[in-house]
Amino acid sequence: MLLNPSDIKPRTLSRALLGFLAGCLLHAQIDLTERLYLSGEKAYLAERFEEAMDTWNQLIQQSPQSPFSAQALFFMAQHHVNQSQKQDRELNLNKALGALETIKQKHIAHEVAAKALLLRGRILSIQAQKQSDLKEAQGEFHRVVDLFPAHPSALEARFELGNGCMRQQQPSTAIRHFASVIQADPKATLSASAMLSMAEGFNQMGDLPSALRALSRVKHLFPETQQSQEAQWRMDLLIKHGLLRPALLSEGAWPSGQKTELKSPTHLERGIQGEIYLYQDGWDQAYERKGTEWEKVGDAFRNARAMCFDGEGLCLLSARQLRRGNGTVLELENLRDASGLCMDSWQNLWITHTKGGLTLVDVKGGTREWPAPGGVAIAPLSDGAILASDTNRSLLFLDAAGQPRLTLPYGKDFPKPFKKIVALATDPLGHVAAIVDGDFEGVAIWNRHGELLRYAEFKALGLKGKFRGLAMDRQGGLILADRSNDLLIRLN
Amino acid sequence: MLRFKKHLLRWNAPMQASPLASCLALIIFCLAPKPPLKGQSPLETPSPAIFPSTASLEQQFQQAKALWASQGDRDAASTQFEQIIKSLEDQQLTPQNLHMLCQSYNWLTVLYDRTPSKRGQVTKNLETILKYMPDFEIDKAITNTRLQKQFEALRASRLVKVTFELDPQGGTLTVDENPLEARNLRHIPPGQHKIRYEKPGYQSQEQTIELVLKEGKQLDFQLQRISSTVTFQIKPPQGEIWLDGIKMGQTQRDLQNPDLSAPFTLKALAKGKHLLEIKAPCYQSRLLALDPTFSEPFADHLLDPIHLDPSRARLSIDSKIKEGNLFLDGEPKGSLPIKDLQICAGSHRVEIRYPMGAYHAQIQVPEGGHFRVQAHPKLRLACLGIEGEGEFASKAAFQKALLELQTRLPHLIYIPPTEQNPREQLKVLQEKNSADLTLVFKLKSPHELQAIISTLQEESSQWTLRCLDPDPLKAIVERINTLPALWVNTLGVDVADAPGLVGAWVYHANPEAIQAGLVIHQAITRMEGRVIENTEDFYKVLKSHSKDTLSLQQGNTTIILDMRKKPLMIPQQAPWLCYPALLSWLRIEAQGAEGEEKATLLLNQAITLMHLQRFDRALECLRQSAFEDQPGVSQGTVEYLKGLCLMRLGASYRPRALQAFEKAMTLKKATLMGPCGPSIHLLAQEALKEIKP
Repeated sequence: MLLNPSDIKPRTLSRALLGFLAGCLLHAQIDLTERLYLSGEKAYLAERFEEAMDTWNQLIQQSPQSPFSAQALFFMAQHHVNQSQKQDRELNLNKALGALETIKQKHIAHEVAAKALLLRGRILSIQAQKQSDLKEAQGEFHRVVDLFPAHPSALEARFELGNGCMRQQQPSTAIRHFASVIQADPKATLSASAMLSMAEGFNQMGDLPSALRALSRVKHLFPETQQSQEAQWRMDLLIKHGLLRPALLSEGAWPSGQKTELKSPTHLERGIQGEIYLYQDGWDQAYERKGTEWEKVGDAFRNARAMCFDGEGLCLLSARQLRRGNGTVLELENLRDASGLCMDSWQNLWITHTKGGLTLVDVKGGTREWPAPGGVAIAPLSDGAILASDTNRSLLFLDAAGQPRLTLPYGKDFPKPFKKIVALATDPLGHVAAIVDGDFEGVAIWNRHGELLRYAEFKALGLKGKFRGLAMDRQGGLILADRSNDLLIRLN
Repeated sequence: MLRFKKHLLRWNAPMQASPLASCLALIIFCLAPKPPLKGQSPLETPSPAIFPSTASLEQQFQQAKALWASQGDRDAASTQFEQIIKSLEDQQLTPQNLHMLCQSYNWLTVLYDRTPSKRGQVTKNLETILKYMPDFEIDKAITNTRLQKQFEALRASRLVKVTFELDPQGGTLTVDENPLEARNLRHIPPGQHKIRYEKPGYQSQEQTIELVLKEGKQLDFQLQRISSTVTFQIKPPQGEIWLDGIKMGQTQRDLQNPDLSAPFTLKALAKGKHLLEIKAPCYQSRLLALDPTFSEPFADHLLDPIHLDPSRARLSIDSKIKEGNLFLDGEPKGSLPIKDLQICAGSHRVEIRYPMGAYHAQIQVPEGGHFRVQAHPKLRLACLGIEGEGEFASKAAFQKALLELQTRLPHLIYIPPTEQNPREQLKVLQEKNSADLTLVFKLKSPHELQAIISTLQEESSQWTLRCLDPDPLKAIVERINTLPALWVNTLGVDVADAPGLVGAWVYHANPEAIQAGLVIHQAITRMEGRVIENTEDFYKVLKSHSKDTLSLQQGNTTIILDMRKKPLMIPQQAPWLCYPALLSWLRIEAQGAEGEEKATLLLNQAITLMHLQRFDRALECLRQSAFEDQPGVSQGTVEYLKGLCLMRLGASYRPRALQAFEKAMTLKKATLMGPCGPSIHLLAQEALKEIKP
């Protein structure tokens, strides 16, 4: 429509002019916001992190509602998460949580919100130290699934929900989440992990065929991958211990064909990747098997009574102190009768005492005491721990709160009874191995449900010695530490 | 090969008897300055429903003559002739009709001459005759001398009388490139003219003359013989003539004898042997050997009409989907199944239009053969092109790639974009139901396009394409071409690689397999005679096996197990799939499916609809999907998915979701994803916990 200039009223003209000026200003503001964001991004990519954070902070203060602010907040949160792995873990994680909370409050409609909620859930999940702590994390994952069902983050959130349920001892709920992830795209890498986790869920529920099916799918859908290898050894172990159950045989000294000089080996432990740790009482030193050599782990540590792997390194326990994997030494009271050590899935260290009770040491060094019968050894299970109590003459399968979910009397299903347990070991699939002493002297393997799977007497194995340490390797073998003969023996 | 009786063609036959002359007359008529008929193209054949036939006009013409000649009813006769003239002038004239028209004017002139009130129109009628046929010979039996003289005077005042001496007779005379009947006397308008005379087998001659009114002219044409000719007619009238492998032309229908072609002449036949081939659609080709006597000495040879034998074949078309309609070479031939349809041998284009999808094929049917087609519809993807006129990087290359997309989408029928804008194209496609899927592009930026694939029911997905990529369409083509498996072969046996053992170690089997003799916790070492070393070998044999049973060996025992095809669920959120294309494909496949196959296709349709966030439609599919309660993906799976859809429809549907999950829980054999998937019982139990914790 054409307008005659004489028809335009002065009021209309001034309004139009004001509108135009406002538009120009808004455009200039948008332009500046974008440039601030890009400047921060440039600094971040050049690893000038401080400059990047300053620029993005300026952007957030100037234009808190801008979509660029949401993006900047997300990158800042990611940066804090990265920093937390290097220094000030809690501080950085809390900073990240703050930035992500701002996205959640002010930018929920922005496309980065799904990722932000997911990351927030993950941080909260890392920080959780007990089951109830996971609620908030799970809430964030649920939000991602409900608010952004078609976003790729929704699948990751499903996967995290599954992991959370596994930690909360809800394997069947976890399986449902993992199944959603797999059904969405069975060929995705995330599905490989979901299948492994689902298999573990079935295993925990005692459904071995379903567990094997899930592992078999990983092997066939993702050949030549790390997940495939993981599935293969898990299948091997489940079949070997649970179904084939071949008689245990001694392979003799371990590692075979390699000459090693040991002095009073007393404790054995397996790391996350299957690496073997050994404590030699004669040298007051812990070692890790690397290639063909035993390499020292940390400084000397006298009279270790137990050891375990705590995620950061090898953790050693004596009658006086606890040395964590990161080298921190804790002087704890009431360690005089400490007999065993393990770490649960919440990064709490469990210390068992011969006279009864459990001491829990959390990540920050805080301690708690839980009632428990006197124990001689303890080993971790995904849903808690297993405690050997000679006083009660039973194996106690404890849940995450230290309550026995299953009590297995010593000698049940054995041809001869035994009175003592010398050492305990577990594997990630929940198999429990023990060196037992009494009328029956030898080794035994149970599953997580207390079913006796395999056993053998030392006599039948042709072994004689003072076996004090025990570990289960990735191939399903048992490694025994013979203190008197300064030997390691492998049973297969 | 046939021997032919040769005849000399009588070129100088009277006009009405000679087909060639008829042809020439028609050409003259066509070239005559005659106003075109209203709404009719000059090449259109008049519809018999609108114009009376030549036979009826001939009859009317005879009746009109009789009315006056025997009954003396001049007025009635005049009316009849006027009607004939009107009818003839309203239609395209054949030489026969042209002659009838002029004769009618001749009769009408004589009648008007005797009617005082109409006598004034006599001259006009005579002029009209001259306009139509300058060489018309007035009927002296009915026309008085005065009128004859008037006609000749009129002709002499407008045309020049030209006498021709033609040697040989029977050639083609052209005046200023307009062919005329080669007669010895012609009337031609005054002025300068270029006159040519030619005849096959002779060297043509051309003369330029200046004609002046009332000054008659004589022209001599003596042509020199230079080669032989062979003239023949064929039946059927329309065919192709090939000489020594070179196409010489096509025959046309003879207007006098519609069963035969107009004579076809092979001109300038070179010395030696020749091979004449006559081809006609739906007829068997004929090969005729022309021996050297045809080419030397020079002569005109007339062959007897050549008859081609009809070429017959049968076509039968069957399809699992019975709702299809057959179109053969574009002509509708009825609905499927088609049995023993009589068709011509040769190449045909078969098109079957189904309610969804279509089948296209070019078939070559052998003579006398019975061609059988097992048709199955394919997905039809119509590309609507790019919305808007904006420019973007590599636009020309992109548009070219769009036109050539069919080669990259072999499993579907691709309809390339047209000149119309996308909205108009879509409207046409929707009206005609001629596509199942559309692909349209929108410009996002000068270097990015948004590709949108939609079903005609408006279920769509979209992707961003980068125009500067070497092949921007690659990802979309790969997605469209990917069709996930819907079935898996299964024996009801679970195997694993057991440490230290050779073979596929059985850790679980269904009761039927155990009853057949399979032993759990023992390895399968042979399948169908092939050595099985591990589970990989086991699955390879299972995947490739197509029989109903499979033999396998455990130790020394051979066991025969039933092979079953078990349904699979497609992934619900795979980025490598194009869900609208998948949905259309599933809908097409579901058309003729029954039982478990139909249930599987409907269940998977529901999954694609769930992916596309169309939970209501997904629910409709699930309601129609009916499985038996059996191990694997089955009715329990359907109930579980129903529950999931109902949950997404809002709180008011929650009680029904609860019911669905409760029902799923009771169907304990069902699994998710496939026969090896997690138990639906467990999943439904968990879903229930979520609803009422």
